[in-house]
Amino acid sequence: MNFPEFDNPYWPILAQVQRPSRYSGSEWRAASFKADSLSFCLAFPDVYEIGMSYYGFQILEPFLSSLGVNVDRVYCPWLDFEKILRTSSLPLISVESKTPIKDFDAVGFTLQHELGYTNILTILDLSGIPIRAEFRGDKDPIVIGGGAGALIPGPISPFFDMFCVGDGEAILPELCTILSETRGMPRAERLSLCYEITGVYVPSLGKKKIKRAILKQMPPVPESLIVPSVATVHDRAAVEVFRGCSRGCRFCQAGFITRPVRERSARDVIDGVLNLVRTTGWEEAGLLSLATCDFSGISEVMGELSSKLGADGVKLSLPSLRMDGFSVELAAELHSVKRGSLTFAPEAGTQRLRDVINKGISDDDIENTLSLAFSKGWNRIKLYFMMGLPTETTEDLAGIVTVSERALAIAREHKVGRPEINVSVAGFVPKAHTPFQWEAQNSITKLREKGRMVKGLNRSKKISLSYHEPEQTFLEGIFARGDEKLADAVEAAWLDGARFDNWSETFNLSRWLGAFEKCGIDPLEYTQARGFDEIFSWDFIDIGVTKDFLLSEMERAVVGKTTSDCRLLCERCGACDGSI
Amino acid sequence: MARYRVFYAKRAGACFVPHIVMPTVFSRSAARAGVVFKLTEGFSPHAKISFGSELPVGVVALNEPADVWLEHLDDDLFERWKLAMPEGFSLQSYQELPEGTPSIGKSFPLSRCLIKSRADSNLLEEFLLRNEKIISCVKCEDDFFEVLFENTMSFGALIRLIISSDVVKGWYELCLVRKNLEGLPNGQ
Repeated sequence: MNFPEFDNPYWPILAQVQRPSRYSGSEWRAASFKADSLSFCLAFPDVYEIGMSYYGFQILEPFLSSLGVNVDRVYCPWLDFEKILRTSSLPLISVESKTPIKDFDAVGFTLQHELGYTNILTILDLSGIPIRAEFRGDKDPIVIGGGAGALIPGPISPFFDMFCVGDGEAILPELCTILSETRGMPRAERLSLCYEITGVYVPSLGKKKIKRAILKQMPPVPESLIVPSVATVHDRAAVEVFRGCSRGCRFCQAGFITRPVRERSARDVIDGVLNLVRTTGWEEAGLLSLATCDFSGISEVMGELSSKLGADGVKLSLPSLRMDGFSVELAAELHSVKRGSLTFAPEAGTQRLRDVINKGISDDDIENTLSLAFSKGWNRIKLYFMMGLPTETTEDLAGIVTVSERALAIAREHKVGRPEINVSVAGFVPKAHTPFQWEAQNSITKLREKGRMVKGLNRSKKISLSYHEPEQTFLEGIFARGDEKLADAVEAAWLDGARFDNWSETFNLSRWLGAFEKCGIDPLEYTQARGFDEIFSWDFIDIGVTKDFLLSEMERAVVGKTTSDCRLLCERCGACDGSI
Repeated sequence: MARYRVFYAKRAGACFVPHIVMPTVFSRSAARAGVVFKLTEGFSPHAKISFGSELPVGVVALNEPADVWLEHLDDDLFERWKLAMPEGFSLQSYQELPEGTPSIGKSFPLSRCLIKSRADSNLLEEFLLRNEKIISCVKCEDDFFEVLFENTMSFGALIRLIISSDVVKGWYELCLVRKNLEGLPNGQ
């Protein structure tokens, strides 16, 4: 009787942890590993079921494979698995090939969220890779950071050998060639060669102007995707319909750092979705972007896919809807969409404040959209708002409840049976590379007061109103506009046990406050209003959109002046030189 | 449409994929292979599949049955389906079932399993021999015990009993294999 499973030293460990399927692999993926090729491990600083929902790895894995690179992935072990790995002295290994992470040539982290920073250190440490770049030797993997966080690298720069700023597909071909050809060379020399690539920032070699690498055209849709065998947060075959966003919502960092808009053709989207459904077996397909309803080919895509996918029992979903009639009509065309819940994000309770943030939704839009939604059969609406926005007044906060009550009234006008209005209010975090990067963030106390006030104004049992607890918002705000000084605090908090800070069950603010105190850092320096003459720690990164444009947008915000969608009128933000 | 009984194995990492998601594993792999499932009726139609008694995670499975209702299955399609299974899962064989074939639960009321203790093998043997729910217990090579028991007691319940009787400290001290589900001997 031969059972090699039981000789695997990780087997008894998996039998002791929660959700062992997080670490066991067993996915569907058309992969092959090539001997002697450069090996690259994509690292996600959260658990498997969150990381498998991240579409970036679904794009990067086949892309790197197409470059002849051996690719694998690793996700952050949950607390129980980390504890056992430490006591057993077994190294952290990758999902598919079960290779120790330290044996890869490169480890590439995606930096999606500030509250995942300590998990980066967990992955490095459990892999046996020195957490600080200065202590890594020639045999240690090159540790790379990419994604949104690479554009504000300061708080984590000592932990990374380099950052890739911009589209991975625009940087990785040259980067992988250099890493492959320089294997065996001294580390410093390799990093120096990489620093010549557009979009690559090497902290140890000092700051210079880094131009964000922009892919001029959308890459081909992947031929296949990795299909997990267990449930994940987003469990569907997805195709990215475009990158960038032209709406210009002033609070939205993603919109500014991914400009200009680059679209796929409707034909490519349709063929891509149909092929992916066939090669993956997924029962649902999704169209991804920052604002899918703005896709110029959306009607054509929806028309063809709804019928073809519907015939095979495959659902089509849209991740987000604009608050306009067009979006609701699109959603209504999705025959497979259960008429259960629709989600909208008005973000602010009054027209005045929506104009300040340039949300581009009028009171009429809200009224008409909700009316159409209820008339089409929906009975549950979810509304997202923010509190703590620039120039906000108590009237604006009360407006959140007014909008919610109006939603309920419209439902009743349409004689909707058992309407439910769910309202979620989050604390606003001013983000780097946005017009609001100079704004003060509301304190914990202020946000809690505002949340309680708004909740207190709600009198209806049919409206469920909740607000985010502000402690995590506070920490996020510190790192969102942070600098290199914060890295010591990240390490100190991590050493004190900070893990999975974006999970409410594990988040502990006192650990962080202790870390800030230990490192002599006043966290309020980062959340206060910032001077217009301040040189930010991220200013050396040129995202395309100019700082002058962001400043002019902030000035327009203060007086409630809107800026139109840049597809309709170019305001010369700097992101597009006309060649795209 | 016809009903087929498919036998499959779970090895390595697949052993940690929970039983509750097995229908999805099967339906997605079938879709990749072009095998068409009959859908259940109702508000949320899904592939019509029925599995045997639940297998806890961490148990190697050598020959598990699953009843599937398909448009059609032949050797070619079955080979394609085998290639479309995720890592660690393998389809072993299939048979078309005549109408009226009892369910898996009724067809296979017994479990034949292998159990080994990484701690004290004698304690485990003692426990298994005195447990009245176990029909037979035979010592095999490598300190495994082959046990046969009725599925009125789940494999998970047996393991929990082994642990609560202090035979081992936890699941991690056991090596667990379900060889197959079985029918009653002829005439019973």
